[in-house]
Amino acid sequence: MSFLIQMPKLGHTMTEGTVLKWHKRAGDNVREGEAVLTVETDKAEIEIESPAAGVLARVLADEGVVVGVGLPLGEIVREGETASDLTASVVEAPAKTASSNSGAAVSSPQKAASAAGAKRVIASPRAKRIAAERGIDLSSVAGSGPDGMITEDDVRKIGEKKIAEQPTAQMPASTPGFATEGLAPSRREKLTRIQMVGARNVTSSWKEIPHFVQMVRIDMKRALEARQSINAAGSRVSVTDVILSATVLALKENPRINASYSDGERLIYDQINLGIAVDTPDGLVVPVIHDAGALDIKGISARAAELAERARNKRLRPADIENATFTVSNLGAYGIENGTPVIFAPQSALMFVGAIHDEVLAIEGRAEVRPAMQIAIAYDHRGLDGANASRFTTRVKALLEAPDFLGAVANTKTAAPERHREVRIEAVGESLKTEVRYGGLRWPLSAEDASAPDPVSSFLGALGSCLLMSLRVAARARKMQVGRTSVQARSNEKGHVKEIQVELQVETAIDDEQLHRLVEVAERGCHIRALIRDEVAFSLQVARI
Amino acid sequence: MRTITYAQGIKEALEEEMRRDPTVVLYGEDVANFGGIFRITSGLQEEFGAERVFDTPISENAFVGAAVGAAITGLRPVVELQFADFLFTTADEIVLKAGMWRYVHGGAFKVPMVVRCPSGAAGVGPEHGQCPEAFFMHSPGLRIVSPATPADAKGLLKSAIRDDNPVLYFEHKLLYATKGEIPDDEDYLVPLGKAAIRREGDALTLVAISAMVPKAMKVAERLAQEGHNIEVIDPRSLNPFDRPAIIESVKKTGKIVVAEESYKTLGVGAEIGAMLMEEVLEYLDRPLRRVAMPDVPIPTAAALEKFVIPNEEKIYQACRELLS
Repeated sequence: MSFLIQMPKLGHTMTEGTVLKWHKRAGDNVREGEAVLTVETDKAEIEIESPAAGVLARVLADEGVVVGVGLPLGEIVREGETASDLTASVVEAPAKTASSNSGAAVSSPQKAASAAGAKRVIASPRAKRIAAERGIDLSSVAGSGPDGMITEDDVRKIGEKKIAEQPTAQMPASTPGFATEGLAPSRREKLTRIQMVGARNVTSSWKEIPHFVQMVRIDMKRALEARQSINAAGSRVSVTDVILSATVLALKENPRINASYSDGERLIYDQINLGIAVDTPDGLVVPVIHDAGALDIKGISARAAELAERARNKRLRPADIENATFTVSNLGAYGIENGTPVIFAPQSALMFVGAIHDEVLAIEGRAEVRPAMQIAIAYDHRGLDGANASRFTTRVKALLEAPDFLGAVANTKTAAPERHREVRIEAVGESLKTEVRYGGLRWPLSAEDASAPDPVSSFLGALGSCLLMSLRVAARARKMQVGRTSVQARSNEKGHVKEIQVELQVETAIDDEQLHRLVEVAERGCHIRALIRDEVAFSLQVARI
Repeated sequence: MRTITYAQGIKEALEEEMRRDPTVVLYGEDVANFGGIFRITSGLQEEFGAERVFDTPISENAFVGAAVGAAITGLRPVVELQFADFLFTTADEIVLKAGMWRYVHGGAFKVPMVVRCPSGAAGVGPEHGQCPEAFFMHSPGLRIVSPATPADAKGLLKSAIRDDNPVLYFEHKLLYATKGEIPDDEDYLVPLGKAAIRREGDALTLVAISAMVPKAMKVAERLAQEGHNIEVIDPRSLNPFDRPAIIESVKKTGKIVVAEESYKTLGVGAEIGAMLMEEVLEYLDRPLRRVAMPDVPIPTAAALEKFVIPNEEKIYQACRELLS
């Protein structure tokens, strides 16, 4: 069983990406989920993780090479196995020689086939699969099967011949400058891959989408107050989070804005995937808060912070930048008051957020100094007209000027976005190698010898530590003095766990009744205790040190 | 290694399991005194007594229903239908009771029973010569096995008797006299749900069921002489079905022929084809081919029976068509 690593498709417009760096070399062992290489796409640098544990059998595209979406980059095989024969000849094709600067960029085989014209290609599913892996254009293959169907053998024959000349990738030709005798550039800066593809995308968006822009000025006094009252309750939401929340709500009420225009149709999405433009040292990237409609302001805030952090550390995953349905670009931090943004195709609209300044506004006939802000929303005029766009624009304004939708949030606690703890255990022969991971932290519990705790002991350890932590939290909340604490957890030795006995030892001056109540609370609060089934006899004894 | 017949394999399995487990009982029409219509059970009543091996009246519905009751209350009955076709008489007990009651009653009990179903066209006409496995594959809760070799006949029957679910055990009448080797293992078991790769190859996957297996092996030899190394897979168990075995093989070969003695429409091959469409379409290089009984009653006249039964030549032609 082998796994091909392919160039991912990270958006409707992406047709190719660049191999930036291989973190592994052919022959290296890889773990499942371990970063194998970094590719650069039109939007970001993305680490591609191994789909399985095994060995990187082959590298099929060298660093710096541009590869079409869906084409293979490398192959992972399980240990002890060899690379698949489906792509056997690809390995012989040196990717290096193909990375020259000549010619046009490679596109995916599907695209090549459709470009070839109206000729319908009849090929077996297997033949299509192999052709796609090898980047072979099926329209150029003669079929020998029933009714002229292209079979596996037909593709293999072509493959053997063509693969050597098939350009795995090329850098786009450099565009000629307008340098003349009189005006020579002092130096040339090559755009990064992200910038280059970005340049191409804005060009096509600008050329193809008839833009119109609506601008409004918004009195932000109450929005800022609402933010303060939320944060007074212990949260840390930003002004941007408030603006994003209002935007999401307005999008829910105006679903046609959360849409794409395509060939005489509006493709309307119920799910709101909010792209947020983030500035990084390498340029603008646009991570996406998926299903933002399902999040409240705290959820949006947490997710936005997480994505911005990932973006700045170049840790964005492919899923983090896919499928935005609407984008917010906030240049307020740079003091920009207003602008006329360019939509990211195929989205229908993009909102530009300006800086908040004190301004003199006319409030009920009087001149008042208020924190004010301008937004500019660009719309695709093919799918939207000025009237339905205005309903959205003015709704965003109205929500921010009367942010009652945030009122309830200030006093309620909301669940943080779900994160999972992870424990990784490998069995090598008789031994268990255990590693606990949480966020960026890792604790190996044993070396690769036979000294790892068995599963039940691990569980008892988790139970004991959870009870202790729960006890300390409960004591702190009740302002009870607790000194040393220790716990002993024990179960029957063999077979299914039938009984668990726990003894807690606590150094404290509180009286017996208080101590027992404290332990009761601790037991109730212990997440691991809650996992134990009713059939298991559980006893919890308390003693003083 | 010993060489035994398929019929011997079945008998040994019955003897060994009855000696091993006193809750195993055996009954059916003529199984005791006469020793079974195909003489599989001769001598068993002498050894195990009339309480454990006995004859029943001619009422399949009643004695299969009784087996469901016996299984629920702690025995492991093995009942013999003289012909697999009689399953239709017992369908209420098999489909609705045996297959469903463990589930319907929330797992309050198990239904460990085996129904032996002699199957296959052998000059016995439309009502005594069918291979009705596919009818019952459609129904939930039933385990279905169709051994093709003496070793599997024994090993699968032993596993079937020990299984806590109702098992329909299809024994092909024309295989009873076939011989084969069996390991000397004292307690030889073949697990349910595990296919056997009878011959490894990479040019084509030929799935053969029950009496089609020896025919498939001959076809494979003939094709090998012509330079095509095909793979022959005997699923052995139809429920649970070893999907990965077939999927892995098709990933390798890209071509598949299914040979079976069930009717073609909605037969085992139809299910395999649907599974491949769902799971590994992109590995198929040719359309699926099924060699099966045409959708007609099996004729009694020998010449006509021969005409409809899937034979070596039909299997060979189907393979050739895909290999061209």
